[in-house]
Amino acid sequence: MTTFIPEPHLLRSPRGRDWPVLPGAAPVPEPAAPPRRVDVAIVGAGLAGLAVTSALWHLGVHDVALLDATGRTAGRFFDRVDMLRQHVLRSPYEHHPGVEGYRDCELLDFARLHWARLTRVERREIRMAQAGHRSVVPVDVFEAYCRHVAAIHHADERLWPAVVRAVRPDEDGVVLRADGFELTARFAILCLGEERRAAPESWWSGRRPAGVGYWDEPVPDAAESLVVLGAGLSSAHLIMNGLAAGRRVHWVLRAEAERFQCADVNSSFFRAEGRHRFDGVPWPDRLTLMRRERRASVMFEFRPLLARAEADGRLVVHRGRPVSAVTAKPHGPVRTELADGTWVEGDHLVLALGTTVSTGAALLPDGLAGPRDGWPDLDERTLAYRNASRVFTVGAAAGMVLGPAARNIDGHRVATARVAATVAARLAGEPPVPADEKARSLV
Amino acid sequence: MSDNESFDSRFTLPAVDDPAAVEVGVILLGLDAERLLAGLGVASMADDPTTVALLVDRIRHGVPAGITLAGMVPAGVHRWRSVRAALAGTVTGAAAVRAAWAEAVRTVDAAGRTDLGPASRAYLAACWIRQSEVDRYLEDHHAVPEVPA
Repeated sequence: MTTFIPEPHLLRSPRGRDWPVLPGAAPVPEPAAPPRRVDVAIVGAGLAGLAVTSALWHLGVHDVALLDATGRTAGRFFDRVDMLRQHVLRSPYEHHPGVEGYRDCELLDFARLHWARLTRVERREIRMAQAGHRSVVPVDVFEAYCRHVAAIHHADERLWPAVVRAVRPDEDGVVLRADGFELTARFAILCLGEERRAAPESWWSGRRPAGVGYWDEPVPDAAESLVVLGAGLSSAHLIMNGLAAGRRVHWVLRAEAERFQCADVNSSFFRAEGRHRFDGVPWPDRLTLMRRERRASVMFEFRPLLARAEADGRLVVHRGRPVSAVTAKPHGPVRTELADGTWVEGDHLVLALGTTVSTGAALLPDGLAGPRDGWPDLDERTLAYRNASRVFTVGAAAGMVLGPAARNIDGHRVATARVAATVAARLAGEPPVPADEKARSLV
Repeated sequence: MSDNESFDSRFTLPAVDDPAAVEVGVILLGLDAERLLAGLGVASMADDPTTVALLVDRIRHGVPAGITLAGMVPAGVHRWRSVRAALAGTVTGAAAVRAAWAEAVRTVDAAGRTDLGPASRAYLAACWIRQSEVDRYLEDHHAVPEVPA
């Protein structure tokens, strides 16, 4: 047995470094009005959307519209990690939204090229990665790399801020309805990611009580005490941020104990030993495995920090305590009522209950996503929706095809390879639609 | 090796405190000749070789930057030819890439060119180490190929 407990100092990494501005690089022009017709529309410019856009570019598919609510590549992803003050990613250097096989600069070499800007700890982590060991990746490096990937694959030039409300496929194309415009594409790729999981309706009636927030919302400065409800990495960051600000922190764990793990999902699902646990396995068994593997976990690096805070009384951990209700009086503390009749009070309660997968069902016509147990019905070879062969998905929604790691960056890479190759081949085999053809009305 | 033979499983990783230019140099010397020449062609525009390497990567992908790969490579070829004659010695082909890099940088410095910035110095050192591929590229390419889309 090998025991490996990474040190907490690995969590510290500078954010907001002054990355070099390239000489001669022209600023990205303000996007004109969105095109009315494109070959491929990609909904969501997160890490999955960026990976798909990059892969398509190398396959010669350049007539792309990237539609994203934030109007930025990976905007929501970095907003979220910055809100949590998460400074390292627990994914390895091999996992990034760039493209393999075209001699592009990969994440590890990008980091090494910026050696002078890295701390000694970050440099040692790179050496660990070079030697094939587990390492963490600085968010700062990862973001700078994503900017590079977006620039070289022209993602920034093809990005439009848009909240897509509906995706309507037919035999000849897909009409996407966004606020203020419609766009017709020959193919659409949904890279929708995951939404925060809402509290059960039984916890309160009516509006969310005052003093209750979610993990992707700021904690009020005035809060002197904090209750964190959740079991995952977000909870760990919220706790450490609260302690660093001098707050008293309660941690409510519905599970019996904390679960520490390097990766949130085992990437061996893309190796032979992992694939055989998923490929060809009956649906009920896949569901069971998905539930088991998608349990919340905290990076090992937090373990000594949390243990020390609990030991010296700055952190109180309530293990194995299901929640029955949340109540708050005006200007009073928030009370988290536990199933055993006790309660925990604090100035602010943060709910970090995980995420739910966006399956596409909210955008596609009723029933077309074919949801089964909450998962879309996908062609396993291409990741196209079985009921809409011009619509594909990359990211967490492909979980019941690719396994639990579909939501991770390496999962994006596996899905992207299938989707981009399929879309490029089908585009090559179809006659182009005349550019002046008017957008069709919605189905 | 038989099971009875002792096996020392210890290994060391390269230092983390060496000058950053060494780490960057190790990346550069792995680039293909075309990219080295393109970088050499614009190396005087930037203070550091990292910026040049990423600029070349952008331009290879057709990102508008006021210059093209087709313009950069000939400039690099011209620069390489103008400096190469002043680079004395031979490439020893040291197996350790960091040692090879240090040797190449010494060779470039020994040429006594005071007009070389850090990026030019790095790209010349990389071209010096990879001189056989660079020279073959010059012989083989009458036109600059496009990056595969």
